[in-house]
Amino acid sequence: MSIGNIIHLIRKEAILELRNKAILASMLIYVIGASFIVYFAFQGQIEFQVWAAIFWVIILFSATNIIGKTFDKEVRFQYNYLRTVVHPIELIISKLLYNAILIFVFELVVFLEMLLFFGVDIDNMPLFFLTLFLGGIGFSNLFTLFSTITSRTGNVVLLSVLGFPIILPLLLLILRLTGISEVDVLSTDTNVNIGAVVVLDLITAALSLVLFPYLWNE
Amino acid sequence: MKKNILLGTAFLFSMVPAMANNHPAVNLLLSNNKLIAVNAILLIILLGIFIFLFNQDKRIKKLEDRIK
Amino acid sequence: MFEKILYQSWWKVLTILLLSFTCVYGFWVKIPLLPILEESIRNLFFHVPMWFSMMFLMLMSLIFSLKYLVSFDSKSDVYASNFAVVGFLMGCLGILTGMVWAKVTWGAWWVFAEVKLNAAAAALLVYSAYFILRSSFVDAELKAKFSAVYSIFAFVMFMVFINVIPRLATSSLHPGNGGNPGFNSYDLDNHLRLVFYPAILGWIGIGFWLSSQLIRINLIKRKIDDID
Repeated sequence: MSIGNIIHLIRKEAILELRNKAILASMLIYVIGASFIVYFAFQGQIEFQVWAAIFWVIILFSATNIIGKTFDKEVRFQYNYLRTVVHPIELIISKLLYNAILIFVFELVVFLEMLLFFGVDIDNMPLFFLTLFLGGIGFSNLFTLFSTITSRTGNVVLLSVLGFPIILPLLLLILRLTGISEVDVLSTDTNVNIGAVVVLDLITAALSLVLFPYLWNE
Repeated sequence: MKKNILLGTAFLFSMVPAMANNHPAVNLLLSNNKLIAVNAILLIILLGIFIFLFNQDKRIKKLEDRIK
Repeated sequence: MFEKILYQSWWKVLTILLLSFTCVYGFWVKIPLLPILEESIRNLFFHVPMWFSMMFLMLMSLIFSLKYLVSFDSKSDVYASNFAVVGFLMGCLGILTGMVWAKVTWGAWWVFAEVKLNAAAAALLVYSAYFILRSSFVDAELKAKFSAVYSIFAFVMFMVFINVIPRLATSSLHPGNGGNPGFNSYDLDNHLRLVFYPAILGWIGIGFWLSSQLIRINLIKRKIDDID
């Protein structure tokens, strides 16, 4: 296992993504369209709690769509090649990192959209961005492993079915953190919540690393 | 084996009246018709479930023997 | 050794005795009269042990999933999936009895403030996802491998949900959370304990009985398939 390999794999992911810009662009329009629909549905007026909930639901839905394609980018026989040259742990780390970055970018896009439309003011910006960052990692950890499973079934809805109930604890904590970040008050409660999200991220990452080789090896 | 279990269970149940004599809980039960009804209904349901399960066991056993 | 237990019948007799005892003595036993709970505390002998039983069966399912990933023996997969089926059934029963209890004491069938209730519902969703996952594979080996991985992941997250999140939450209506008295304060009542512990064993026993039958049926099916 080497870090050089992981960086190469991430670069390969990015190149594949950029080569087929249609998917990226359609995802972009998807999130913009979703936030636009919300804007119209609420007629421009929204409470912060509702804003936070809708913000995360949009991200959750787009994350399932983005990550669901993780293992569809390459053709089947390319996997046989990858099996011979890289260790499964390297592969899963690169996929997790790449997906986390991608989701973080999409989170920023949705955030800017929702900020533009609804003009919410968040007092504790560092906490909010920390939440975005940790949430992106958590989503990526969960859905990447499941997309490995679902890519073999051809059932498109399965990723949401598998992921949604399991993401609930993470979503609950993230929503609470977002709620806290509206006002600039730091309490021990905040630290406990951040700690819990970090622990959840670590647990999901560890599970992905341990379990992925079983799925990968034929 | 089965016979022993049955005998043991019967013996245990035969002990119940002796133990229950003048026990406050039994007095409560005998003075309360609702309680008797609830107990009886529950026990009948339980009995039905157990008979079903034992029957099922027997049928599975038969299948297992046939497949061996 | 475990397979031997599956085919023995002493624990079945024990289950019958314990459950009959629960259903009879559970209604006679002298209870501590607590404010809101009152007589409904007798549900302690039904609702709580059902969850214990579900946890036990899910744990068995997890153990056999792990065993499958180590040995790749399709027998373990049969065990794991059928324990999960009965665990799911026990969870449904637990939710139903819990809803009745909630209606009596809290005044509503479903309460959002109650983290444990929602965690339980999420757990049932997770396991229904597990069954859907199993049904969407054709290849038996892939099915076994992928569902084992999912169930391990699901179990760990479910444990986090049930054990960690309620502690972080400020409001929970269950005993021991958010200012409610813990069961320990009146669980010490020896009358309750006398029924509660046998009830746990009895409900675990009946869950185990059901799953043993499912497992045996499926092992027979597997054998027939092999012969064909």
